[in-house]
Amino acid sequence: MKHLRILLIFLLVLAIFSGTALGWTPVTITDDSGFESVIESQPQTIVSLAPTNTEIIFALGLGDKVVGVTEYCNYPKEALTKQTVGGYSTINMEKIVAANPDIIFANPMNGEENIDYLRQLGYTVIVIQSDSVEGTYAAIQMIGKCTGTTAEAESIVSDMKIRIQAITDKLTDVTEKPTVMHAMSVDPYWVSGSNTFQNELITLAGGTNAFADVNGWGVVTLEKLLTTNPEIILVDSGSKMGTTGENTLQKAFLTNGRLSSITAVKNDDVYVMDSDTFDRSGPRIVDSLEQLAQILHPEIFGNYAEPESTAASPGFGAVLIISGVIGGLFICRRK
Amino acid sequence: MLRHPILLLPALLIVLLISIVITTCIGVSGLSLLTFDSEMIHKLIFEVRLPRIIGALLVGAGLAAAGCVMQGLFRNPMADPYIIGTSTGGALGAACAIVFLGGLLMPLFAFIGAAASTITVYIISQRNGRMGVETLLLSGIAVSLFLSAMLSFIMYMSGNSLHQIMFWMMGGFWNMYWDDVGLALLIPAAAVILYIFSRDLNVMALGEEEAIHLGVNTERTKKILLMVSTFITAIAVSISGCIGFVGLIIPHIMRIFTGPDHRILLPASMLAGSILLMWADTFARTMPVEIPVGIITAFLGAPFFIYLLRRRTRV
Repeated sequence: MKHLRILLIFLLVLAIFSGTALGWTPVTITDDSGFESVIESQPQTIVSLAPTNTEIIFALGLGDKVVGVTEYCNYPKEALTKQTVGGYSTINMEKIVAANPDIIFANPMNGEENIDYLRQLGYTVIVIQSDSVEGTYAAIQMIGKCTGTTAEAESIVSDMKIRIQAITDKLTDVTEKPTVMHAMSVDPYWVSGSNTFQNELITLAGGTNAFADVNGWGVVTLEKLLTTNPEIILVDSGSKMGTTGENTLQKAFLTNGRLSSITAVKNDDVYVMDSDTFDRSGPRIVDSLEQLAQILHPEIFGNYAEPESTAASPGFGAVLIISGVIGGLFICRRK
Repeated sequence: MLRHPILLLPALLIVLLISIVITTCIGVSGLSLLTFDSEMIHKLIFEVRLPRIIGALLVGAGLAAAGCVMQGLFRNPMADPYIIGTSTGGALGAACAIVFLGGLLMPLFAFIGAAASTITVYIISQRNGRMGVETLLLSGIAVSLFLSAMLSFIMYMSGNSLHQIMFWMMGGFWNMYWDDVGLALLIPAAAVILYIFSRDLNVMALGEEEAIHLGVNTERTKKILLMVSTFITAIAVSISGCIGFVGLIIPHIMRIFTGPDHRILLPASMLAGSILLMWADTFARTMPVEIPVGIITAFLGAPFFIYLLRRRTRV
C-alpha cells in the first residue's frame, strides 16, 4: 500500500514537471538573414518556402501543421498533397494570407523583397540558409527550436552525424582520392566548383573535386574538361519540368566521341545523382553521401547499384509535336 | 574613308589568316603546338579548337553580312540581323526544345523559330504584293514583342531548365564540332547571293522610287535579300544562339573606312565580323570560367563603337 502511494506521488510530480515542459516559453530567434524574431506561442500552422525546409519540417514530424509549400516541394510524398503557394521568387502572397500561417520558413532564394513584404504583413518569417553539412544541422536545429521540437531535431542531427562519421572513419587511411566532376549541364559544361555544397559532399565521400579551381558554379570549356580528365563524373537527374535531364546528360557524356579519352568515360564511371537529394541540403544528404562513398570507394563500401531511372523520356513530347505538325499539314491540305 | 577602300580587303584577309593561326595556338589548358604531348595536342587542335574557331569565323561573317544588308535595305542605322524578330523567334524555338524535349533537336527548333518568325513578319507586312520598309520594321517589332512575351512565359515556367535557356540566349560556341561547321558553311554560300545584289543595294540606298526609275526590280530584290539574310541569321542563331552587336556594329565600323559602296562594304564587313567574333570567342574560352561570347562582343563592341562615332563627328 505504502509503495503504491509513493508511486502515485512520483507519477504526480512527473506529470507536473512534464506539464511545465509542454508549456511554451517565448523564444527569440536570430535567423540566417540576421533578423530577430520572437515566437510567442507554439506555431500551429506552418508555411515552407523551400524544399529543404519542407523536408526538415516533415522529418521533425510536423507534417500535419504544414499549410503551404512551394511547387518544388516533392518530398516526402505527403508534401505533394499540401497547398502550393508558388515557386521560389514567385510567391503568391494571397495564398499565404489565405493560409494564415503562424510561422513561415523561408530561404534567401525567395528574394529579400518577398521576405520583407511578408514581414510587413505581420508574419513571423524565419530565413534559413543551409548550403553546407554544418548548415543543414543548424537549419534542423533552428526549425526545431522555432516549433518546439528540439528533441526531435537533436535526434535527427545526431543520427546524421553518426552516419557521416561512419563514412569518414572508414576513409581516414584512404590516400587515393579520385577526381570527381559534378555536371549540371553539358551544353555548356556547367560544373560545381569549390565553395559549393556538392564540393563538400564529394570531399566528405573521399574524392577530390576535379574543378576545385572554379569558385562556386561555373562553365568550363571542352578543352579544360579534356585536360583535367576527371576519373568519375556525376550528373544531375532532372526534376520538375525538363525531367529528361537524367538520361540525356549521362548519354551525352558516354556517347560523345570527343570525350572518349576521359578516364571516367573510358571506365563507364558516369553516374546519375538524384538532384533532389544531392543538390538539396536537407536530412537526406546522408543518403547522397552514402551513395557517393560507394561510387568513389567500392573497395570499402561495396559495389554501387544504380537505381532504376525514373525520369520521363523525351519521347512523349516529341511524338506529340510530330503528330501535331502532321495533323496541321493534313488539315491545311484538306482545305 | 580610306583613299583606296579596296585595299582594305586583302589587308583584312591577311589579318584573318594570321588570327586563325594565333587563336589555334591559344587555349585554356596552356598546351600549344610547342608541347609535344602529341596525341592530346592533336585532339585539342583538330577536334576542340579548330571547329570552334572556324565556327566563330563563319558565324561572325554571316551576322556581319546580314547586318550590312539589313541596314542597307531598311536605310536605318539601327537595323541589325535580328531586327525583324529573328533572334526572339530562334530563342523561343530553342527554349521550347529545352523545356519540352530536354534539349533534343535544339538547333533545328531554333532554326525553325527564327525562320518562322521572320516569315510571319514578312506575310504581315505584305499588301498587294508590295512590302513597305516601315511596315516591315514595325511589324517586326510587334511580332518580336509578342514572341518575347511567350519566351518570358516559358522561361518563367521552366523551373530547373531556366539556366540552360539563359546560357543559350547569351550565345556561345560551347560545343562546336565539325558537323556544326558543316552547317555553318551554308553561310558563305548564301553570302555569295547577297554579294550579287550589292549593286542593287547601292541603288536602293537612293530611295525606293529612284531605284525603280533606275530599273531595279525593288520588290524582287527586297524579297531575295530579306530571305537570304534571314536564312543566314537563322543558321547562325541555330549554331551559336543570339550573339548581339556583331551584326549591328561591324557594318557601321566598316562603313567609316570603306564608304557606302556595298560591293566593298559587304566583304569587308564579313571579314571584320569573322575576326572580331574569332577573337571574342578565343577570349571567352581562355578565361578561367568560360564566359558567353555574346557578353564579350557587347562589352568590347559598344565602347569601341562609341569611340569611333565620337572620332568621326569631330573630324
